[in-house]
Amino acid sequence: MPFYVRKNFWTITALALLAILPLTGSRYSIDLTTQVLIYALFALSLNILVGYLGNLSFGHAAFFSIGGYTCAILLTTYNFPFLISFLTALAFSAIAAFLIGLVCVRRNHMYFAMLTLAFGMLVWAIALKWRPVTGGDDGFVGINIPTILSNPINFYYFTLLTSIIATYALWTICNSTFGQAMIAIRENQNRALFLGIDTQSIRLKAFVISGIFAGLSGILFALYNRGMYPESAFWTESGQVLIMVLLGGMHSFIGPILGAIALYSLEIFINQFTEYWQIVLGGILLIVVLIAPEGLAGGVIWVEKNFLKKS
Amino acid sequence: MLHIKNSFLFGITIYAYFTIAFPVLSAETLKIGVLMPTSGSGAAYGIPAINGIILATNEINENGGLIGKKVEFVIRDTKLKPSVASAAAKELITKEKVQVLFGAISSGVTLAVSEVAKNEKIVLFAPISKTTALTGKKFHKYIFQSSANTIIEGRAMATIAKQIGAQKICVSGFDYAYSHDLFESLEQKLAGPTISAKYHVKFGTKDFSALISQLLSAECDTVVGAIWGGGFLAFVKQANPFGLFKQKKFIWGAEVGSHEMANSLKGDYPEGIWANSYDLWYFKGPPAHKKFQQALAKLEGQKETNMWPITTYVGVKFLAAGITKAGTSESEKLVKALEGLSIDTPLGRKTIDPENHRVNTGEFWGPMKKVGDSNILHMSPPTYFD
Repeated sequence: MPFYVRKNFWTITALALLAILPLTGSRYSIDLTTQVLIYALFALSLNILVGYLGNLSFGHAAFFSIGGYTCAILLTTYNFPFLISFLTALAFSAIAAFLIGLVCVRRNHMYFAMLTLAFGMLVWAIALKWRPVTGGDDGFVGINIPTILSNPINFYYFTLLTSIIATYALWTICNSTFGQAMIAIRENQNRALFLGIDTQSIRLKAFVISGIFAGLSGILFALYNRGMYPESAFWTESGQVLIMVLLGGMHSFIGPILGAIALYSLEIFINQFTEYWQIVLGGILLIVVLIAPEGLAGGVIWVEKNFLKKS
Repeated sequence: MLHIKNSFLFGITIYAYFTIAFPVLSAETLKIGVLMPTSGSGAAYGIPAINGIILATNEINENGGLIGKKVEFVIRDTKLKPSVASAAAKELITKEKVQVLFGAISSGVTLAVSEVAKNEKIVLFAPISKTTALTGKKFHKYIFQSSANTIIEGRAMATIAKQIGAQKICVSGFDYAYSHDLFESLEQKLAGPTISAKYHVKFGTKDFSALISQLLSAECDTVVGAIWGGGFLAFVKQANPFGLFKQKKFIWGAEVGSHEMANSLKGDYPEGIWANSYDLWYFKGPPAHKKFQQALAKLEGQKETNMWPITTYVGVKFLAAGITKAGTSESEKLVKALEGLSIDTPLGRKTIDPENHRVNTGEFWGPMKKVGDSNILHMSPPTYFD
């Protein structure tokens, strides 16, 4: 087996399994995996801020909805071609993240979190009140998507391909010098500053990168649902994705993916039996914060250290 | 460092554990996917609405089911959120293999579900959401609406406004499709009175202090409202100390004339306001209504039954008649069978318009008054507008 294949055996296996998933013929699995991929990308984007930079954001859903709404409006209201709508929506997310980031990165800790919350709610209010453009409380329903993507299997492959490219890009960023600089800021911002790292610039760049990938997941969400709703910009949506990151483990690249898989699958599963999902969610949050602060990824490491390596 | 291998194995395990479950679609069962809010503020509507489904389904199954199959319904909580409802609708179709969708509550939520129905080519029967957008600008052949739509409700409001001598009208509702459509319809039907101000509040809000101040200082003599559910309860409790209901005439839609609403507010309910309701347990109606009320009272364990069950009961009966006529639940044939279909309901014969898929469902309207010693107001006398 070539070294590259041996080194990445499990990643390749995971991708191969995802690639052949439609062969199972289960529409439910295809739909659910599409949704999980979208949320995993959303969680990965937030982890740039929370896990790598150490900045808590309560307004990340703003970029998710900016991406989704922009793509929806351009595709449907203005009948723009798909590629132009897609790229413009990404550009809007980047511009919004840059402008919001310019203000937010001037503050740290609690003040940073509160600023992101304030901007998040501002975006939510626009989505809610700009009724002629966004559809207000009813949402923007009935997005025109290219015919090729209206087939669920095609859309699954589109989401899978987009997610793979985005995840690889995020992986590269996180494992670059830039990624190391983010970790340095997380560990001790003053020390990083004294070491010559332009902390403000790094934080702003990270904010923009995070916003772009959140926007990308928002675009996929809007296309998948053929609709975009103001609730997607509400702070609770930011809270939900933050829980995914915490549950998966914020100090691991793969953690948010595990968190998204677990939380979203669990929500769908629990909702089939009871309406008390929020109680389950509260319980999960308590366990993660009090018992397993490193999340599921931390749990996997613990199992590796204590069981697998001994055997 | 975290190994990809173990993360992969862990991820796939939890994914498989929670998601891979294959419900077996029995050839003897006909599944209806029900989307209703069963938690949070919407539960006050969703749970009574489900009673109507239970009642109709029990009657159908006791009579041998439909096309030789037992009818079963699978309920999912929409949480009054469009994205949750949309995901739940897809899950019902792809995993539970339901043949028809039924619901939801709140126009925005139902519009989202309707989009799923359109793309999945599956019939959606909407028994409660009133927005005409559903069967108007967002119409598609798989959507059917058996609720009293905003055109009917707006027309009734306009008639009542004229009847009570309204001159200048202020309107107020939640800022979403239902209220906008309703007031547009009202404006079109008004002959004489004019709308002088519109006050829209955030959907689901419970703080009406600003609205109350606006209404107190507004120059209108009549207020036409469409804030519903817990919103109306909060509005009344907040407005009563200011004497708002004594200063102006009120016409309030959104089914606030129902017994459950009057029961929730008891002595706080503003006497004299004109309100509406789909059904009234105390209505002296035809034998079919009496029979329906008796069966519902047995199911709910109370004589003073809820209003919502009749909406879903009639909806399920329409679906049943459609499936029987088509001889199948297959979407294309069911659509054809439902178009123009007429059935007898507890409140008279109703028909689905073959052009826009709307049912000519009406509602009771009347002034809310104290009757006898009870502190729960009744609509007296109720008049049926359709």
